[in-house]
Amino acid sequence: MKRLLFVLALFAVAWTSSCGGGSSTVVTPPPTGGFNNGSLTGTYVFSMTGSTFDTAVQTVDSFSRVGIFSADGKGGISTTAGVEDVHQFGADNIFSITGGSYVVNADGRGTLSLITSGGTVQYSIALVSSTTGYMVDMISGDLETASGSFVLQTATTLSTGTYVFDFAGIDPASGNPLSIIGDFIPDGAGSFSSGSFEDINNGGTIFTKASIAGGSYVADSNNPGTGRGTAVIGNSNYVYYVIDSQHVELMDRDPDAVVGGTNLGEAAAQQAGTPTETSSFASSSFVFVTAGTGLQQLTPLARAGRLTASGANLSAILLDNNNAGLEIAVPSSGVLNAGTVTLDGDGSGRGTFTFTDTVSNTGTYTFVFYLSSASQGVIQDVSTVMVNGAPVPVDVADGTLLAQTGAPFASSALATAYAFNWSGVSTAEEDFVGAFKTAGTNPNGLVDYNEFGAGKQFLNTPFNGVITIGGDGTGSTGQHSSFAAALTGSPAVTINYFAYIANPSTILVMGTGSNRVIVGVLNAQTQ
Amino acid sequence: MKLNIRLCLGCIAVAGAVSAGSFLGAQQQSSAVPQSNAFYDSSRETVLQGKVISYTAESTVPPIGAHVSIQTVYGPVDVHVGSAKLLEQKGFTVATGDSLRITGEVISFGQSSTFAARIIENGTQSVTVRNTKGQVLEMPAVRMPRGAR
Repeated sequence: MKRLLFVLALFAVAWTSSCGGGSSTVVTPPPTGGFNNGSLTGTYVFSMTGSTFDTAVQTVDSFSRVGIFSADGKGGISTTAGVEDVHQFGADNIFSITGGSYVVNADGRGTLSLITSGGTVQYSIALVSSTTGYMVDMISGDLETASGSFVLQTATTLSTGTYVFDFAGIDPASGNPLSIIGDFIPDGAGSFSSGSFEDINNGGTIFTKASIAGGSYVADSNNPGTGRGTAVIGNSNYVYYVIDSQHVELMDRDPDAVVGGTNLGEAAAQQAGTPTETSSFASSSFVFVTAGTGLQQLTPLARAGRLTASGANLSAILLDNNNAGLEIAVPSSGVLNAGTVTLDGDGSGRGTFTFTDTVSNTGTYTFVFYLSSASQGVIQDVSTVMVNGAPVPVDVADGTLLAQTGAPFASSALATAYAFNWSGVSTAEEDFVGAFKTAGTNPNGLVDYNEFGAGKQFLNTPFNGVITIGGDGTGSTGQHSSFAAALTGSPAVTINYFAYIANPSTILVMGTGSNRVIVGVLNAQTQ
Repeated sequence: MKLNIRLCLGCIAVAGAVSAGSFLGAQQQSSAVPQSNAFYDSSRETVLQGKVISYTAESTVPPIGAHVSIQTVYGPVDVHVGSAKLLEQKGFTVATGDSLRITGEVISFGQSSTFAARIIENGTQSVTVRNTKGQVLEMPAVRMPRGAR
């Protein structure tokens, strides 16, 4: 036994050395903070999506995973309480989680190993708090990478009421990139009430506000107490895991007909006070990030923006684009001060943003959104370009819409520590998870990342950064807010972001480099 | 020679389209700006031949992905060869001095244009990096992290 432990210790040292950046000059700062193994206690719903290598057909596909694991607060994973659904290589499979282990460091970062009936997966994690955090699939070699999150489960029954949802990924039927946002209303009797709608962008074919009333949902009697169930929403079959009375994770479980992949998303209960009339908007500012696929060449595309709604009018509009490394700011300087916002006013939370670039004449931009509260929603890009006289969608992309509160921001308002998750594409998919101390405007921390290749899983990589705060981020009251992260080690990687600050606790970021398209979120840590 | 002439004609056409507006810079424009070269059209495909000057798996020149610079009779041409991951997994290698035969076409991208490869041949090696719609194979979408709150 002692010999075994010694060998394991040597292996651990070698692993840390080889994956910590590869340079002997790199000094890893000791993690500080108040997290420990006890910070991860209870049952958590987790979900992720990423890239996987299908050795059978020698292709890279997307895949998704959703499930629950139970942490004992002491570094152990329950051998009986976990289950997961994995949509990979053409089908949805359910696996029992039969054990595992985890370590939470003082800075909230750590590792999580889940043993399942389908194999063991190693994750790097970063806790935002004891109730939520981010995770990246760190399977070594060429097999897969993925980004996701986990949230403490406090309920196992799907509540009634209106939920706003966002599903993104691949349409199992067509193989097209897919975005679906909308609202559904569980009626408590296994069906969805009238007033349930979805907006779909399926590979550039757009369906606007299609009714999804009817359908079905049912708890899984074979896995009682897990919150697992199945649902038919629109034309798709989903598996779901209830997180709490306000949130549920869903994954399409239809078999893949063309290429591997599925769509994954989350639904959030709509809160009282969600605006129904544009008169509710009184200098109400929002930030958003959409991410997905540009349809010109089926390459990655991201957009991030901010705007202010006053009644039905938009002002202080700024939109950044990164289309496969091609960056375009709209407008090219300053901000746009003309645009419109609509709200359907039917309780769905649905509305639109539309604005035209009158400065650089790059065209008109349109986004559909569904609000789950006055401060949060989901957003889908439905902008088009004219091709041979007909409008053609630019991309299939969706993301997060957040109210901006507390602006203009100052560096002194930033939290002392953040956990983060970035996901992007360079030579292949890449996923980052970590935490940093703000240290004024010169953050420093540690990051684990997976660049989807043999020897491309990097652990405990130190990074230093610079945060530049630009007022409310419009360029009118201040410069663009930005965040630069310089990862040391080998290879050294510097990622530059535009930062769209919703509030000091939540910052959305979009990469500005021409060699990668990357987006992410920074969340203030609370212990 | 015939194919190369077609390439030049394609370049001229793209130059005209690019000068009129870019892909991203033409959202719902009501004016009839020519955009045909912003999207791949297999009927315009041609063959480019030349020797490799350099290969970059993670290019800083958009569009994102792998690029190869080849020396042609018309001078150096930058070619977007799609996903570096795909080339790696197919075992397709490119070295300086290799003679490549590339089927593809010039498409406009932003304010510039690029030769978008669909099929790359290097000696007996051949790899398809785009489908006939011009869509890059095995290039994943970027996904917005969500869930944590």
